[in-house]
Amino acid sequence: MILLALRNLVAEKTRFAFSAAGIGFAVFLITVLLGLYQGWNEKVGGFVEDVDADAWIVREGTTDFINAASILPRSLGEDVADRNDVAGVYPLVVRPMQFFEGDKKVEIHLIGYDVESGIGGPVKIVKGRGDPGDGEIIVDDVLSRTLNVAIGDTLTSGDSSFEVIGIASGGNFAFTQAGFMSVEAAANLLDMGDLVTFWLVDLEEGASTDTLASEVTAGADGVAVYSSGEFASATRHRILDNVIPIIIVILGLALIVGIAITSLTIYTATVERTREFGIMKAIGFNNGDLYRLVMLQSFITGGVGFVFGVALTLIASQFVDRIAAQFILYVRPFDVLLVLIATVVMAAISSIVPARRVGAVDPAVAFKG
Amino acid sequence: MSDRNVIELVNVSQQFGTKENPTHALRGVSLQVPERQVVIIMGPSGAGKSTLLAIAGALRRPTSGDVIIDGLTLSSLNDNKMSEVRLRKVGFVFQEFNLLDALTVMQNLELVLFRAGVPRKQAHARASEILSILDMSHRKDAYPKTLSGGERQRVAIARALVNNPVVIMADEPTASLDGKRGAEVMSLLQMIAHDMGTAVVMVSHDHRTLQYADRIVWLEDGHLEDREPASMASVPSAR
Repeated sequence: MILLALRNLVAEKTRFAFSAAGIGFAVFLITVLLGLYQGWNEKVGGFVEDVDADAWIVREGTTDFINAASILPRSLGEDVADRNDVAGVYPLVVRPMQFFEGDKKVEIHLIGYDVESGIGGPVKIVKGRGDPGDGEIIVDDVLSRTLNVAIGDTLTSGDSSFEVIGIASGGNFAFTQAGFMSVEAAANLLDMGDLVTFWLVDLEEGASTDTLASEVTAGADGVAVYSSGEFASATRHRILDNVIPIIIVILGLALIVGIAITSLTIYTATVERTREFGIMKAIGFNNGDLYRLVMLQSFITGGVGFVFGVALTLIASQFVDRIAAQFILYVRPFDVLLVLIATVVMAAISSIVPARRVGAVDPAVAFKG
Repeated sequence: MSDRNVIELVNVSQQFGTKENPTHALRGVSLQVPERQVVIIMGPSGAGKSTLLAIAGALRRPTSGDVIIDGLTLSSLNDNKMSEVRLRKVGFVFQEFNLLDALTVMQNLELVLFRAGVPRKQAHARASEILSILDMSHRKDAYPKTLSGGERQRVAIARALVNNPVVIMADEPTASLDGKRGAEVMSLLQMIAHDMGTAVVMVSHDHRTLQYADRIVWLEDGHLEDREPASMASVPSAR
């Protein structure tokens, strides 16, 4: 049966190639969307998770790291540092900023951090130095690549200028990329005086984030405390919840396109072979056998399309972020499994109408010359 | 001892069209076909010969009456059981050969055996045996489209025989062949009936086939009657 299904399909090589390619592109689209979602999920929350702190103190109402509308006094950090369960407290100044490199606009998610401890700073320096002083900045490697900003370049903002001294990885938030400078330089640049955006807290071993949160929020009005995991998750939700409905709609469309292509192929192949199905019925095959044959053809087409589509995605994931920084594909084995299930569903649905047609074929058709 | 009947049609009627405007293809037809016999059905074009063959071969259910194949009454069987009867009891030979072009000669035969649940090794051996009997072993790996008409019909007969049926139903098996190839096919069908015991029921318009018949029946206006070969000489070939 498998051999017959395969031969039936390859008897019309061009049509088979087009239909497998059609399903392949549907699979590609589905895999890319899932990969894109996972890529964004990884990048958007990844930096927050990588920061070596147990808790984040933020202004109440601040929902995430990217759209940070948080302002906190320096005195709050000093108060928290006096607690017995706290090993260290580190300021962070964060704001999206526009710099210029000559006439070129450079959008940067500016992060001012405590250079001495390195907490909240670059995840990994891939080129140059990692200890920015006054008038120095480190930029993310994706930003460096896409906007052609290199070590030694000067970025300006108003009357201030900063020399690029390092390139770091791990600061790509999909929609924007990080630039790191000392917290003092960032505060001066933004004229923040004694204010910071976040306080990062390193707890003593065995200390509880919940205890810290309840006691800090009781002692200071208008602040909130998140564990690192909670803040990463909140950041992910804030950013990705907006794109999930769009992704779901496009996923649905890709599924419909895949089903339409497979249905059309299998239906056409079935109609063309009506007489052959009649002959098979005449020589002893029952409807169940023929349903299986139609489904096999559908699954083989889907299988070839699946391999083609996933291969295309894996190839694309190797270089697509170099074309568009926002296009971060992270293809997990679990997502490939999901796409395989989607392909099986597409193939099964696609064979329903052709199978019904086969069921209605009169075996006596074999007698007609 | 007389040969047992492998097919019996008992008062079979077939009606097409609407209740108000019915067409009677068969009107209470009865027929017994014993093993080892070659029965040729003749009749004018549109007389219902193919309908009779389809009903006798378990391809179609009659409007009324009973069909009994190798002791099994078909009216009591569901569609899947009817398929089983066609698979195991009946072999079909068609005018246009009707081989599956996507498969080789050997695969065409093996497919039927696999459907019958025969294991791969035995299926291959059985298919090889039948091809050898029909002198087609040398073309076992060929695809149907590369065969001559005569060779294709031999393969079709091999496929019909491979499951060792009690009867072969043949619908104008010589119509697409020249005289020589047609005679070879008829000799083969006669050999199958007389030497192997498988009955052959065939529809034919070709008078040259009549010399191979053990019995000739004439179908006209829905009624069936036996004819002597001599009486057929004056009947023109018709479709």
